Amino acid sequence: MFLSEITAGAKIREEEMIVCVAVVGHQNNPLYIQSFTDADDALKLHHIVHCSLDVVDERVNNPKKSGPTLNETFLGLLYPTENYKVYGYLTNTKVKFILVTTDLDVRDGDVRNFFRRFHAAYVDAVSNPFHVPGKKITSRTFADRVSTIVQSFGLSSAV
Amino acid sequence: MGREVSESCIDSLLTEMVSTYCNRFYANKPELAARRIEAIGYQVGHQLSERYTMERPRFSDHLEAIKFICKDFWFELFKKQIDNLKTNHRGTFVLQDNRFRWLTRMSIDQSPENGTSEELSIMADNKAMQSMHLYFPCGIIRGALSNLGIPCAVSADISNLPAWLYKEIWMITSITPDHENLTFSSFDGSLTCNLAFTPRFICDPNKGLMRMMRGFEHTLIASLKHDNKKLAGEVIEPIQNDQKW
Repeated sequence: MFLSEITAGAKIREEEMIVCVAVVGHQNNPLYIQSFTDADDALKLHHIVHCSLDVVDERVNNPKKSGPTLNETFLGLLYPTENYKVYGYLTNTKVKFILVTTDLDVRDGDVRNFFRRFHAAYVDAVSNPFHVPGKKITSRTFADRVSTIVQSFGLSSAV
Repeated sequence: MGREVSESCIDSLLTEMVSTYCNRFYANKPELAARRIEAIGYQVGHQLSERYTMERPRFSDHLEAIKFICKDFWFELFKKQIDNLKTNHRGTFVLQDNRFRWLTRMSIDQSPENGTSEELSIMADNKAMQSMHLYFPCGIIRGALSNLGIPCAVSADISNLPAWLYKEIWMITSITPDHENLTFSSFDGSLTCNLAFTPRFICDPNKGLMRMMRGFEHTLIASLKHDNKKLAGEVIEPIQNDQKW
């Protein structure tokens, strides 16, 4: 019954798409975690992000396919849980971006687009001379930019 | 979309930074000033490497990362690529920039061609001044490489060869140098000098390649070539520790 209520309203669907985003440093230290839903326990989301780090490491060290996808930054769907899908992205500087979305139709292009914009926001946040590398990102500008990107996720008119 | 700054502003900023750290903050302590400047460069390199690797796929090995530094990174910073890259395949890379942009506007004390000791000390001062300006770019390179997962030490050097070549400035940049053959060339590449030396020397990455030769125990053999025709070859005697280079 709940499922039909959720799938009925397209507007509600889009708003509930992204549950959580996280930035994890190269020593698997968390740099930024933000959840966008009140539904679930933040701890549970942190746990999901933490588990996904293992998958990222495994994906990078044991590449399934060779060729053009070998060194791509976008890692794709890492693993599905009971309610969520988890996407990963690994930069050249070994910083990982984790995206947790609700288990609905998520287009691959949308996720790539999201990560591209997210990467740009991250680079700007790190270029802040007051940011200490390795410590959490505390910039309000970054948080605002991320929520803008999250809100426009999935909308076909998003740039 | 990015904002632009005129290049003379950058030149002024760098000159002022070196001058402030050397003359005000750490006057009479050039080692500390150098270390501080290098640390600033490290943070800048760290941040720049994030920005300039943004759209690229990941690097598969160290050589790819070094090539990135030589081509794209150097181009973003200095509007040109590295002119020559050498490696000994054992972890040392030599990056050679024949016309290093941040030093092109730096003046050098002119001096007559006699090799008096006063002359040598002017040369040493010039070298010290120039090498102080190189700590920042070394820090940038070290920061960028560290962020790409390659811890390293970076040192830079400018070579001012003997008197009649005095106005030719060229530079060699090396990473943890323990190289056996070094080639210096002038701006236009027509004048090359090759130094071959047997590999026992003391290496201090903070003090640069040339000072390394102070502890040098074996002879240097230098051959000079102009447009690939051999001009002169001379053997340079080992330098005593108390002699200024």
